[in-house]
Amino acid sequence: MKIINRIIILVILLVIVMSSTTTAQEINLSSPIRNSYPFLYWQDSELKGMHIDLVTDALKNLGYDINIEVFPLKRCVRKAEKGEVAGIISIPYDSSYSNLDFPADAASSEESKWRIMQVDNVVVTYINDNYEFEGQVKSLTNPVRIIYGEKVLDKKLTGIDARVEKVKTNIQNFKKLMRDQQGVLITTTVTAENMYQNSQFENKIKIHHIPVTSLSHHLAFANNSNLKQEEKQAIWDEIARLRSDYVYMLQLYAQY
Amino acid sequence: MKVNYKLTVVIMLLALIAVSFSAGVEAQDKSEAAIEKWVDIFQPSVLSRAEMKAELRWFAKTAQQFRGEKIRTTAEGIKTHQWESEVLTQAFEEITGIEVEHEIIGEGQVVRKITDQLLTGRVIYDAYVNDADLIGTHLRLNRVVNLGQYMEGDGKEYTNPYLDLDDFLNLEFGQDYDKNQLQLPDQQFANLYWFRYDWFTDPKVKRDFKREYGYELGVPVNWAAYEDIAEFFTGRRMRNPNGSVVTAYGHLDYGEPSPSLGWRFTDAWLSIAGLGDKGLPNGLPVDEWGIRVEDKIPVGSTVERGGALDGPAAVYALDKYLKWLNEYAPPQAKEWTWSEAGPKAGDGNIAQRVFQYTTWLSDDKFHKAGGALVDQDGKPVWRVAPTPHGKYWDQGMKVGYQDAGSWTIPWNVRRERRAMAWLWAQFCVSKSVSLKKFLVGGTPVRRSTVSDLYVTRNSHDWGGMIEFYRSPEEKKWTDTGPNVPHYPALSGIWWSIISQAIKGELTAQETMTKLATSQDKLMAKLSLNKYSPELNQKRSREYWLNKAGAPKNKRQEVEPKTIPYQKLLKRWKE
Repeated sequence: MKIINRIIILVILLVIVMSSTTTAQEINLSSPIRNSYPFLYWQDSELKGMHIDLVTDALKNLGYDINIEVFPLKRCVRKAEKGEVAGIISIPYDSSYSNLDFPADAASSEESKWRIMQVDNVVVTYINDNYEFEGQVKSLTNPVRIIYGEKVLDKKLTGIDARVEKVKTNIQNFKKLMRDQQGVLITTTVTAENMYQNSQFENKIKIHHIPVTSLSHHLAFANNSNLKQEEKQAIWDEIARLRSDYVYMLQLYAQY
Repeated sequence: MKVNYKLTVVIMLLALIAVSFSAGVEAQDKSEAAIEKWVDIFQPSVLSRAEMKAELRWFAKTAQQFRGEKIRTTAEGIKTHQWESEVLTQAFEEITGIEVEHEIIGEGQVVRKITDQLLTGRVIYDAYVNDADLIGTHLRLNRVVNLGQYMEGDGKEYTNPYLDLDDFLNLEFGQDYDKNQLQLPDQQFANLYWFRYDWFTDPKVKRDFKREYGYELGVPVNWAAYEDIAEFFTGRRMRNPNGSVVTAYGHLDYGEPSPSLGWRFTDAWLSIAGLGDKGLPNGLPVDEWGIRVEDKIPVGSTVERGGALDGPAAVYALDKYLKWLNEYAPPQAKEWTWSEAGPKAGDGNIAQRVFQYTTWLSDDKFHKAGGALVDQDGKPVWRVAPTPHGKYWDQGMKVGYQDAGSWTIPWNVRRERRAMAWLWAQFCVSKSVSLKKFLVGGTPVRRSTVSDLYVTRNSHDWGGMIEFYRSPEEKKWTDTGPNVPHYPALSGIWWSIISQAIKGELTAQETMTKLATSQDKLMAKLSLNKYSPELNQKRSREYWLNKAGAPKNKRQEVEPKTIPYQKLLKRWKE
């Protein structure tokens, strides 16, 4: 009798364990390598940042087990096209991404309702440079320094007279700007502000007020992922809900 | 045809100079006309007309280079800021040529937006009127303009020579530990006890109260008396000066889950109960948020870490809030927010309010002739008095709460935008406009305002508020202070957890335990530029409760105590 009881208990436990493992759906995502504190950055061999936290929390709330791989942006896109990952975290909309699904208003709205977050890029010049950026990219002075992987920004700069130089990290661009004392660099507002507090650059740079781009960063899904459209929408809805959750966002900010 | 190029160039240059000059003259004429107009509109003022003109001309002259520019600022939805948005922006633009969009949004949104801007670097507004309660956050994040340094350095030429910082009532609210001025007060409001003077002095009402409770009806000195008075008035039929008869409530409060429910507690409710340590402006080492701070470093909120947020005083404070809300306040109060409850006493059915933000006393309902709260001579029948205290309160602790909505310029507003924002901020607090602004919104920031002759002659209109601001006692009402390391993040925990107690999902002890634990957990995660929290190791509750000061051990009930209003008023006048 005792043995039968034990077997019954074991079977029940097994059913519970199996049911809990089958209800949590696994989702593999990728994220571009971008040194953009506090949104997305690499620290202690780990990808961190507000964008990662927000997407992770949204997916966890919906019962997903999440796995994130980190690659250069182009490779993220290729892997999504091949169906090797279900989506890409923190990618602004671009019409050339025909194999990716973005939220419905991504193409039409400057601030998408379902964005992870909005990120502005601004112009930085040497302090004594008289140049003022007033919103016209054609007016940017030579050279224009940006980092790799900024596809939308890159596209916006196509056709300008000034030469566009790309490097891997923002700090390289700031050092070059100090060295040359001419031209511009373009980076996120928060990177510009953080660099301004760095004693190397404090009072030596000018951060311009009008953004060059203001981009909604999304969780974009691969067209061919196993997720149904309503599942994708449910994830975008949860991201939007968290972003408008007053307490959640203030606490998220406080950790960076 | 022979062209004399030199002559042509000279003529063109002269023409250009003439055009520029005439444009300059035209702008100057416009400013001068505007100054004449606004000097009239801004009456009464603490300045003479000549002094006003001198100050406004300084604004016009200093802003000349910015004519045609536009800035955006924001503030919460109270009367003072509405007036700034509707009237002062127009005056500022006509005098300086700078257009200001002064957007009025909810206080919760002001906190959210400024946090967005400070943490993401996106420029949303050029300046905020942000409560000085956030000073602990600003000094730790290091992401707002140090106005003191700015006034001495880059902003010197944009700093009003008539600003007179010594004239401000509580400039220290906006200062960090080292007295750097990070925020400049724009409007100030205290949290005082409010009551119906006419009802409290009615001989029959007084007789009834004494018969029932055995002591004189008067201004409650402690919560025990407040509770008796609340019970006494609740359900009693009372008459207003305009003849209306109402069923009275002995208490007024609010309980809707929203950021404003958080302020109901973080605006020193626990300190008024007596939770913290002695010390001004805030208890040290334990303040009104129940946070223990050692050498500017927050080290814990739970009793086990030396804090007091889940101690007996905190539980008592929440218990009393719940009891009074459930038993003596209008039943709808649970669904009201701060701004909905704010002017409700003006309806004429509230006998007293333990926690009245004076900003709402500028509402017409409190002053309108023929209304429920104004006598036959047109004078208010209500008064304000010092905040009654809970049983854990000891002499030497802060007496009550007051704060200043303060001009705050984020780090990423630079150069000409910073200068314009600073000019606009100073305009809003200039002596030329401050008295007029007080008459509209009732939120003074300057001594010259509350000591003005016009205010003296009409002081009865404010039911004791003027006497309060003139008294040195006023310094015992203080704001959150510098010890709270991250107001936006921590305050969010308060209302979301306390709302569970209002719904009856948690007991008072469970609520405060959850709150204290959550606050410690979040403090441990905070990443701040300086004075970041470092939590104490846990020890037994007994260890901390048996030590002197906060966290305080459980105390016995105290005898209810009241005091005649005239005696209190005399204390303020002394």
